Amino acid sequence: MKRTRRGFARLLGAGFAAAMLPAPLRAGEAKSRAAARVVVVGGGFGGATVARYLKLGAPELEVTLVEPGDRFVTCPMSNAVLGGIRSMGSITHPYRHLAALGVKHVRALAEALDLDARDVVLAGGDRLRWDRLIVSPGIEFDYSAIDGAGIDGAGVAERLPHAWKAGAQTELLARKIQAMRPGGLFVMSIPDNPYRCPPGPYERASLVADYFRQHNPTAKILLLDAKDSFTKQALFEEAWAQRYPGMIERLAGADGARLTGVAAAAGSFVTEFDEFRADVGNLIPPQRAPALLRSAGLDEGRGWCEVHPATFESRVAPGVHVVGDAINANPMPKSAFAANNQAKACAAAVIAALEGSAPPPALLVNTCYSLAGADYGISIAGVYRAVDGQFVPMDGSVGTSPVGAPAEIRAREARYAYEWYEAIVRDTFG
Amino acid sequence: MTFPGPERGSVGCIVAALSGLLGALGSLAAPAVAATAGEPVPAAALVAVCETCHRADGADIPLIHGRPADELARSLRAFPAQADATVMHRIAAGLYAAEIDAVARVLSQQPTAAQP
Repeated sequence: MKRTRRGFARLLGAGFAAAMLPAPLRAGEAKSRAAARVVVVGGGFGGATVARYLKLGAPELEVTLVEPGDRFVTCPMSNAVLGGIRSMGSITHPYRHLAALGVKHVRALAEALDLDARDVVLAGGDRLRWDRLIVSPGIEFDYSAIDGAGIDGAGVAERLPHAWKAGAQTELLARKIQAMRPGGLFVMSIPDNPYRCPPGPYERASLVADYFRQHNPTAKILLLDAKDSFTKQALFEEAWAQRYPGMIERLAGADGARLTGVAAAAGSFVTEFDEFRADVGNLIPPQRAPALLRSAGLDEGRGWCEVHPATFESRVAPGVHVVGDAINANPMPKSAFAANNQAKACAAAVIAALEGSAPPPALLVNTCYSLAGADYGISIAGVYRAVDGQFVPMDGSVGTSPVGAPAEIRAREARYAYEWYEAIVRDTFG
Repeated sequence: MTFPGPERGSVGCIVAALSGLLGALGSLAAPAVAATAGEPVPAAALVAVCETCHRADGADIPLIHGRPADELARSLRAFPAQADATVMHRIAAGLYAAEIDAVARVLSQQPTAAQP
């Protein structure tokens, strides 16, 4: 932690050299600068990272994290919980280390953004004024194109869990998988791009197959995919053929597999051409930026928020920054690693803005490991920079693990995946 | 594929302009790639990126803090040719030469001990 503080302070230039000293020695000096109020909404990989790196980089800032919970359950490794190889406890992380760093944690739901007053309106009516606001609220499910799902999908999510926000939904789907009848059918509906964690559905199919292989070997998995092709496709299909032959079948958009409706009471998925009755159903709905952002107009009616890539400042609301899954950072994927790296760049830009200096150039990396089995890892990585208002991938930096690699390479990447997880969790939540 | 300095720059500019055009056409357009794109990133920001994974306490993800600068820089320069390097051959390919030297220098000056 000490090392990170020193490192990050250097990024901020000579004016922040004093940040290299322990915080108590700086107290008197800090008073000479107005302590700006920075409010961060959302305590996931984007929000927690931005709160932490703001405090590491500029300890005198008043950083308030608005997040109802006292702990965060990560989507990364939640498929391993479904596959029975990790516990819920191992993917649940408290916010107390952020509080120890001086981040003020307001345990409330942000209900609205009052852009004119520069206030976050909390459930219950309290308001928090910001000098700079960073919003990282993740995603919202959009059930509106699914007949029979109701307006908010509330009933459907009980019967056909999404488990695409980790927590109670993960536990619910895990219980259903464990209780499925011998030889039953697990059906997963997968939305079209863009959505949170592009390889996530296929990692999930793999790890559920790994569970069935051991506990329910005649079970089948059917993927109803709105897309024709998907990320790491050759790698996943290679793993499925090797590890789970005959267990996983995928229908693509071109096969008419796009979901048009549900008969949730019967556990049925309705597609363009057919209806599939599931013993266990997993409906991953289409997604968009949460209503908190959309009702403030930050998505300009397009579903996702556009930002300036160098600073993550909204293109429509000065002083308001958005990071993580709620933005369109294409070609960066909606991943935990992308959110973490966007948050670091955003923290540096916010500190620079409060100093009245230009934002430093940023390097944005994405690294995603997927598990196709407990000892079978595959990866994708890419390096991006902000150029002329766009996220631009660097030549030769974007790519995946090789197809046809030997088992020891897959086993090594699985070990990397587990260490990757421990590292990014510590980097994000302290 | 490497370009001499000035050509690298012009390729970057063309690619950046192309990228802007593609961006304007919508998110379905294939992403452009850039050999160079913008200013070198300050070393401490690069360290913060490294520390997403390299937090000095892994068994397989190696310790990079406190290692000799020339060794770190040599590794980073060699990575792009190593196809079996999990993700580092790709990440290193996205760094400028000046960034590799700078981040290696800063990392070499940091304590090696695992942090709490």
